[in-house]
Amino acid sequence: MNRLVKSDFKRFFKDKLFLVVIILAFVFAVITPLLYVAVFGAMGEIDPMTEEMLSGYVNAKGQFFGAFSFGNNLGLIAPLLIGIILFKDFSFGTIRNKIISGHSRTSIFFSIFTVCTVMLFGIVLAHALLTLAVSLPFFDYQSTPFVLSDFWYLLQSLLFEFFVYLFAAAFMSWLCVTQKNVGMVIVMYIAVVFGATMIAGILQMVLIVIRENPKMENVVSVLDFVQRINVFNSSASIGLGTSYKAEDFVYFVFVPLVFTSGLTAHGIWKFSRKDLK
Amino acid sequence: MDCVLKTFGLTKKYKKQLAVNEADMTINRGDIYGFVGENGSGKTTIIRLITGLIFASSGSLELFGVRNNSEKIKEARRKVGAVVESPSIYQNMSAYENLKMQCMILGIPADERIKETLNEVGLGELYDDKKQVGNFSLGMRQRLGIAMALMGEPEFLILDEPMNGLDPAGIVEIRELILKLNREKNITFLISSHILSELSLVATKYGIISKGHIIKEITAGDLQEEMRKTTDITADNPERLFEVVSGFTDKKVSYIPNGVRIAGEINLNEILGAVIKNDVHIISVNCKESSFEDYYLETIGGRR
Repeated sequence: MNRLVKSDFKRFFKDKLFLVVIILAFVFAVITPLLYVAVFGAMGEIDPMTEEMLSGYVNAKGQFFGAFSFGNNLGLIAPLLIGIILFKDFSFGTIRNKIISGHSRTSIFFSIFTVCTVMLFGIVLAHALLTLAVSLPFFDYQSTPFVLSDFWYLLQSLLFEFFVYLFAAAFMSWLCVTQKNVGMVIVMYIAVVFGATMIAGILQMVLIVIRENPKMENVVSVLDFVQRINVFNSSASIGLGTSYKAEDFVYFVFVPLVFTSGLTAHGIWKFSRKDLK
Repeated sequence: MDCVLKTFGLTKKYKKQLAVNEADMTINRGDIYGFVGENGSGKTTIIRLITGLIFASSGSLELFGVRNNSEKIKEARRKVGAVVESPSIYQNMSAYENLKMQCMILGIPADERIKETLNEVGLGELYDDKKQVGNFSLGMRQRLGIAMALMGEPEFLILDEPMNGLDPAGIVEIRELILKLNREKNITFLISSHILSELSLVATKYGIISKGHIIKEITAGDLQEEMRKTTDITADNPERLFEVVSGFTDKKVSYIPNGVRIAGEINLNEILGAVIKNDVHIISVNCKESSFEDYYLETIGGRR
């Protein structure tokens, strides 16, 4: 499988779309914090209470973790462009060379999955770090002083983001080996991400309305659970606090791993039976 | 004889459409197997089945003595090179980079082999050229596809319509390459082509396919023999004529308007005697040498 991974990385780096992703990662990382600066500049003098409230949300940490969100600029575009690059093996018909050379379809799937995970998480992490670097001269890291526990919290959050992106890479790899053309890969990905984000938004509003109602306790538990297993929405809750509870490890590690395993198993099963042109 | 490929009732169904229908074929080591059939007859589907790109609905195949349901089939496939339909190349890379990718996939050292292979297919000047394959002519892409298939030094090379898009000089070069590789490296070939005249210059064995079924396998020698002569007899009762002639000779007999065609060398006097004895009135007798095209059309026509 090493040979496949090596060749998949090679074709990835040779693709012009890779350059596009890198440029977008850089541009969005610079523009996003500067937009906040511009907005604050346009707002002029603001009262201390509003300023304190805003500093709880608009800070370098928020922008850093916001960069991982799937609904955000690069978080949405990067998986799509990476998926398009990886799907080219199918659209160019070069996947045939691998099969005729005797590589198993399982190895081919895992090679796609490996490259997708490394490139997707690597690019988004680099983008997030650059966003943080651009933000820090203008905003505090957070509203409270940075202490050692914040550093551990940061590392835990990055670990969770990795598992979330592992799931996204598994989903993209699954799309690549199960869909017939790149158009379907794009449409399906966007539909699922937007669908998941919309559901999360609607449930969020419903929960705000019914949470205090004692009669709705069971419904609230179910909806809370649905919210927490919505992996495409988990980026919206990772890195926003100061510490994690034990159950967070279940939702941010176990749940993405279960979905990743499911998609991988089904992807391999489906790909192993797929007729290739 | 050492068998490279043998298929057993290979069948491929796409929903209700039968693309390949119980195809049986045998290719021995050293053969240049010309695979002939009309468009949509199932040639490419069979090639895809052999190369493992698609899966058979029923039936099986043996590649270098290994059944397709065995785990060892992957090892057997490493001895195969193939260009299926269109060359499998990265459009955004140069010829050199494409071949390097192929080396990477195959796990073989690159540089020397790339230069040698590019020279072999007549693309030697592209070794240092950074031009992307997307800008190549169809003929150049075809040759590069063959070069990719040759990288793993295959024992069995499958070329699906290799002459497509080539100019006359290119066709001659590819033909000479096929003959050279077969002669010098004992590479076995499976070549599908519509250009029968071209195929007849290289093939040592033919498989004629129609409607997904291989209706005839014949060696080049036997084909020559069968093409040597055909005899057309017309009569007032073609059905009776067919019955009498079929019963009298083991040669292939087929219908033509108002009569029958007998393929191959026959004792005409004896046959005519038998026909007359059976009260069939002969209208005309016409003896002629036939071409490969005639033979092919007659063979698939017989099935129609």
